[in-house]
Amino acid sequence: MRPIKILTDSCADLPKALREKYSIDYVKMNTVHNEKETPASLDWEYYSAKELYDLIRNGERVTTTQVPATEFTEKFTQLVEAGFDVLYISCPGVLSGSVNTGLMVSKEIMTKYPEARVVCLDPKAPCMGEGMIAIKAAELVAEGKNLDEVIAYLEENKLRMNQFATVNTLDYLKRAGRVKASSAFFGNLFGVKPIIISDINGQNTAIKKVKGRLASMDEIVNLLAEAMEGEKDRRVFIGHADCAQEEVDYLVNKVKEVIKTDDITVDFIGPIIGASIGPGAVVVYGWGKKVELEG
Amino acid sequence: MGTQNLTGEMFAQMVQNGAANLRNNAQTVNDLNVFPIPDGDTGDNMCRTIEGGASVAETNESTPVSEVCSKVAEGMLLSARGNSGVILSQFFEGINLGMKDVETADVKAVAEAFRAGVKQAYSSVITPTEGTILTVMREATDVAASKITEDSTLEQFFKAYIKEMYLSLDRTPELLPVLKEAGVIDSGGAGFSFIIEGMYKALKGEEITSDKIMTTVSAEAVMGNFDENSEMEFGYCTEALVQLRTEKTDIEAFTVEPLIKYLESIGGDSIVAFKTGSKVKLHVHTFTPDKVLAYCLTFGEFITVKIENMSIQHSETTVENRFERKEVVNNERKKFGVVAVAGGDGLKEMFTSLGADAIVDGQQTMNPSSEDFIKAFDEVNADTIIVLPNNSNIVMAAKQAGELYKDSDIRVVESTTIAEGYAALTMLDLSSEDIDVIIDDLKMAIGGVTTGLVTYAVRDTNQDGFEIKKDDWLGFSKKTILSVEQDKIDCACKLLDSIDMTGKEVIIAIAGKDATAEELSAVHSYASSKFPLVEFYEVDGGQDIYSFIFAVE
Repeated sequence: MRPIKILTDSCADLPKALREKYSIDYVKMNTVHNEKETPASLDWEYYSAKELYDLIRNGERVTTTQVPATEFTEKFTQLVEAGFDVLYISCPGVLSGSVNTGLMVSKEIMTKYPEARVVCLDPKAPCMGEGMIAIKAAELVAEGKNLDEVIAYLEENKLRMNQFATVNTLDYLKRAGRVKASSAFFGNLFGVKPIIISDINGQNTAIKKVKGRLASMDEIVNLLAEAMEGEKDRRVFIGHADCAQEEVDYLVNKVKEVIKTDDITVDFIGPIIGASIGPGAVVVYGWGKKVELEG
Repeated sequence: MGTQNLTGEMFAQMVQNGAANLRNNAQTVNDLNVFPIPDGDTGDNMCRTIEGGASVAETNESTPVSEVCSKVAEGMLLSARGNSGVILSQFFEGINLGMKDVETADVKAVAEAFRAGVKQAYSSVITPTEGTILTVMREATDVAASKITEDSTLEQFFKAYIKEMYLSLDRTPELLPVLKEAGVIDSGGAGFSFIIEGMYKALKGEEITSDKIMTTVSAEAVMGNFDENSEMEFGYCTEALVQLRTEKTDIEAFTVEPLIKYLESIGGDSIVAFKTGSKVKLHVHTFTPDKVLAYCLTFGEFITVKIENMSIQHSETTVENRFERKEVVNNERKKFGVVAVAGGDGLKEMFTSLGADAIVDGQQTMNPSSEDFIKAFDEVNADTIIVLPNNSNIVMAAKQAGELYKDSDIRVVESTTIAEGYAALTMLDLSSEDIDVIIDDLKMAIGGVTTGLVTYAVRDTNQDGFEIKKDDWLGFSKKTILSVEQDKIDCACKLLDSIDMTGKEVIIAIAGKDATAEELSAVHSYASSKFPLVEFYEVDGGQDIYSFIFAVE
């Protein structure tokens, strides 16, 4: 049996330490600013998180592109030639075409290398949710599960990945076309913070409004605590788009207090999600109850 | 010698005289404002209310008094504005009920009808406050009614009435501490007194003329935008006043329910129908007004009929409402709709952009009538309509409109300031489709708001421990003055200092007509340095009276 490599992409927002720990590799999307494409590095090789978010704060438009086919071809070939089967856990298909490009390239690769398997899986959760699902896959691989068992487990469980995010304004997400929001979220909702989940399709969906920033941070933690009720896996990932340290600390303490866990990973929201969600966003992720909402 | 019997014609003259007398003194009543700020409008509100009744009171020598009362009451119910106006309209509705079937009323009948008026007025208020118009009408009625004998004349009744009325009016500050502190008598009671006074003068043959005629201007439909190729999209707004006829129906037993059912069966909507005395007032939107007319002829004859092509009306509204998110003429029935009261272009636009389907125009000193609300309800065309009156003095007119309107479930959320209404609307979320949940959310949003207001003083006074000079700037919240300054900005900043910021995260500053962008940003800078953790948002509201409205949440 060939060893399995878990592969994800720039959307997964996994810091280097975790990628190394779980032996996860990733393919890069690009960010585009003033028509210049830059690889979306999760290690911030080309610009710092602060630089990216300041750019957006100053009204500059930063867009993103999906993983180029050449990037897939290169990475798949490299891994397959090194003897691996590949499980690519992608950015949700509703947010990026990467999974389709990956699928297309994987077929070419498998024709060329019939002994290898390259599988593309849509985790239906973006950002660190995608990352946590990739980590889960790596853990199953480490336990000795074969590729089909890993895929079966993920298909059965991926909707148990819960996302609760809040932003200062929905404008960035709306402009990027990456949120579903009812008419309740129209207008200048001064001071009103939307709560955004990832629905069963991986679509960001605004589900409710909360007045005030602190109240909205409390709300996402409370909602995650509720979703994680009875869940054994107490890992919580917190992502933030260049928020003030006090806000991040507040959120971490709130998670400790309400969710009663110390297994907390905090990191920047990466360049891909960051470019569309905008500065000031915070998001919490954890395994728990199955997401049922279709936005 | 005096008058033993009140005729319909005389009562009509009395109401018209009462209206004219109040019109001549409306400003005096407006100035009886508890707060020393320029937002007093009780006189105007009551005036417009009674004029709505006076203008329809056309009579001849043989018109029964019951008929005049019913017309007057009906007109007033529709034109009622402001809390005192609504109470006044209910008083006359009570008189109407008391005068039922009366040809000419003797003094005893008049006294009984006045008692019925008081009863009706009290029942229209959930928690009646003493020291207001209610007390004045009750005490005057009680005393005057108790004094009549077999040979009392109407003049004697009114004389006694007026004597007690003024005594009662002078006592209002003893019953209502806010009046005492402000050093004024109750404005609603005063307005009522001017009306009664005018009515008494008519009885004595003294006609009061008023050159300050205030009529509600209704826009004439612009002709010409409906031609031979236009699509008949919206049907006709059909209104009729029908005289029930003994030869055609049992007037006593006649109810409007079968009529409403019939109108529904022919696809009519926005149906309002009610019976007052022997008349039926009817309003319906229909494609087949001929059927409506034919049906009405089965039980009565028309007094007036008005039929308007709504495709023409509608084109007008589209031109006026050019706010971005307004759907291109969408008259389909919705599940939920929102009607908000706002004055000032900025505020109107703000409420529209937040999802209000119709705006009822209401500046601080220009309260909308129940009829204005009914028109807005028609426009919204929804099963359930949420109403944000955004002013404590408009709540009752909104509720009265809700009771008159049968075509939708009208839910009045008692927002008492623009700030509260705004806060509520930002939290509006219809996705649950459960009206009780939706309303609870709005109420909760309102509960979290502190409203701060900045305006200027119109007189010297002492209040809440402040010595106030005319033209000083006043900052206040919940009817308590919190800052008095000679400078507008200082006043606004001190007001913010005085508001309890515990648990508050957001200040929305709505700048009025007279506040400049520089003044707004000066307040912004102050607030940001003083409360660094609070988000501050600027809104150009363009409202009258208040230089700043703060919503602190």
